[in-house]
Amino acid sequence: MVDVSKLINTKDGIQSRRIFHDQDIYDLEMERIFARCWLFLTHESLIPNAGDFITTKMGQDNVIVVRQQNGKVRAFVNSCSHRGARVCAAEAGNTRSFVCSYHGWAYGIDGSLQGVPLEKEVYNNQLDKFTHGLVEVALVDSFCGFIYGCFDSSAPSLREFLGEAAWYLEAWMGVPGGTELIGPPSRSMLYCNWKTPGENFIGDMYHVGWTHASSTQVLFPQSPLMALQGNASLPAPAEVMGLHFTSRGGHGAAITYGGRGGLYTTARENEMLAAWLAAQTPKVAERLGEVRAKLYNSAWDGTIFPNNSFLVGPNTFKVWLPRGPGAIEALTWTWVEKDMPEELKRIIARNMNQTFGTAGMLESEDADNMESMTQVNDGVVTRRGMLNAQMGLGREREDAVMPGIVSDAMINELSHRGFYRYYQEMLMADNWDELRASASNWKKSHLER
Amino acid sequence: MTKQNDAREVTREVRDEIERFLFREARLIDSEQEREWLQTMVDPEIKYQVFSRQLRYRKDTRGSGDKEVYFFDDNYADLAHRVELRETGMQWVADPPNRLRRIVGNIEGFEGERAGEYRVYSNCMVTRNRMVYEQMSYAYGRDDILRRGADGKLRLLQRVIDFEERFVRGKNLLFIL
Repeated sequence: MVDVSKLINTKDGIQSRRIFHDQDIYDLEMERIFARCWLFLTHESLIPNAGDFITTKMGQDNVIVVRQQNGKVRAFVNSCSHRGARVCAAEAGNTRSFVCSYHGWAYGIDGSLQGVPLEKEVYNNQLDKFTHGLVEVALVDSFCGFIYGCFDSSAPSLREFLGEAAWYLEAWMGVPGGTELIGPPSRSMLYCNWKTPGENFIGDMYHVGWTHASSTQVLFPQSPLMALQGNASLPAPAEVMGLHFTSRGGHGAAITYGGRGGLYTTARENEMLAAWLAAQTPKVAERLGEVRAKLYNSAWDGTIFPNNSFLVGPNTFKVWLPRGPGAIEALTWTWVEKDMPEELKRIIARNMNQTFGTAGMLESEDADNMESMTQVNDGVVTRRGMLNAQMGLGREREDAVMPGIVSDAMINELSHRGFYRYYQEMLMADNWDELRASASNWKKSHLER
Repeated sequence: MTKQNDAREVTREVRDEIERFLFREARLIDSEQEREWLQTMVDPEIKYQVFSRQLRYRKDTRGSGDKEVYFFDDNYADLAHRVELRETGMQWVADPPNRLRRIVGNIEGFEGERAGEYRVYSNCMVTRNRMVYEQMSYAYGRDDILRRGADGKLRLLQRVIDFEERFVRGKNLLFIL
């Protein structure tokens, strides 16, 4: 049995290396995190019509997400109730039914078993079709159009699960006019633990200047992030450049003030985005207030616990699907604002794929780090050690306006610590009631020195 | 990709020239001479695209949204950026060097839609070795247009690759395909 209490020490900001290696920890993660948390499925914009569906995974469970005749979205495990073969082989499309390729059992888009070939002749009409529908994902809901699902019916609502992070996320997901994802996603294999990209995206601004030394120099000469290039000096104190937040549910981000623009490869493209932001900012301020209008104009790297990451600026949206302790499937979409001119949407998608897609110049730079920080722990001595996420320790605080716990330094590991604090809590808790019971105390215990 | 089954095949001489072009290109890219490739073999008006199709049922024509995602949608300046990255000396993913080796085959050449242009199909198998333990392989078909410049030399004007491996096990496509 895994002793989870020894894996993470939030107070000192350290984590056991075993969390990137051990099979029994991974198995516990699947049971206690992936079978209990809200997980990203798709976006409203990708399945707008009745019968539109996509297939994806929640943890390692294959699911179909499909829009119903009444407009609601439901999700089902993609496995026939008969002998278990999958009932949908396509990634997306529009359908009236899902038919198992093995014997032809047919299910409606509501998951009900509708047709069984030769039912009268081979089952003598004794098969109870009513109890042989597809297994349904207990909860499906959307936040600003982003659809998430949860296998655990006792889980809090999606809004509660996002908690304080929702206030931040609205600054880019919930802007007037709304957002959409440009699909289909690219899909690629990385030989890393699923947490390594999540913790990178959740707020690791420290790596930008070093890992991406070549790409920041070549691609982003017009960006404020260029100032980080080479990790030699900071143009301003880190607290002037931005902030970090973490939240009860482990979600967090690093935010670089004013950094959203200048990340595209031509001056014209950057000017188009700048014009859009200038026109939108007053509307964002009106709906969400001046503070979030400032965040709207910032560059972000963030992770929604457990495995959903995003960037504001490059506008990438990612899911890291676990495939065992040492491998993931990375799914990558571009997100844009719905009301943007079509040309600007295409520009953003093109730039996103050039940087964070399958042939992405920055994506591949990150991948080597994520893989090596996973694979080195094959060594028994190596994985005895602990990992250090102490940057900014003791400088986190509560804020009158900003929810959660914040730190006035963009280069920081506050959100790493918050991610692993909640990770540990989820692994230790037997059920959601236990997690609810400790919720009111989380800030105090996180800030405790 | 609509293959030009009825299109006019190029002459034997042009066929040889096209083959020499593709082989030289392969050698330059695989031996880290992408700058030379860019300067001597790529038309400044290049359109270089690699895309991946979402898997949908044959009969399904009603589904919503884009059906493809573009891994590359590059013009000359974009390709130049990719070449420039390694030249900075700070592209850690290329240091120690990656080793590429490709086989180009199934070459077919047809007269293009405009004078001095050729439509060229070829298949590629690439193996990428890197970082002691990594070996990845990629197979794909190219749909190219080569254009004869004022200097009489062929240059790559367009390359479109409908990349067939939907889930890319070789991690990324950070090389010239």
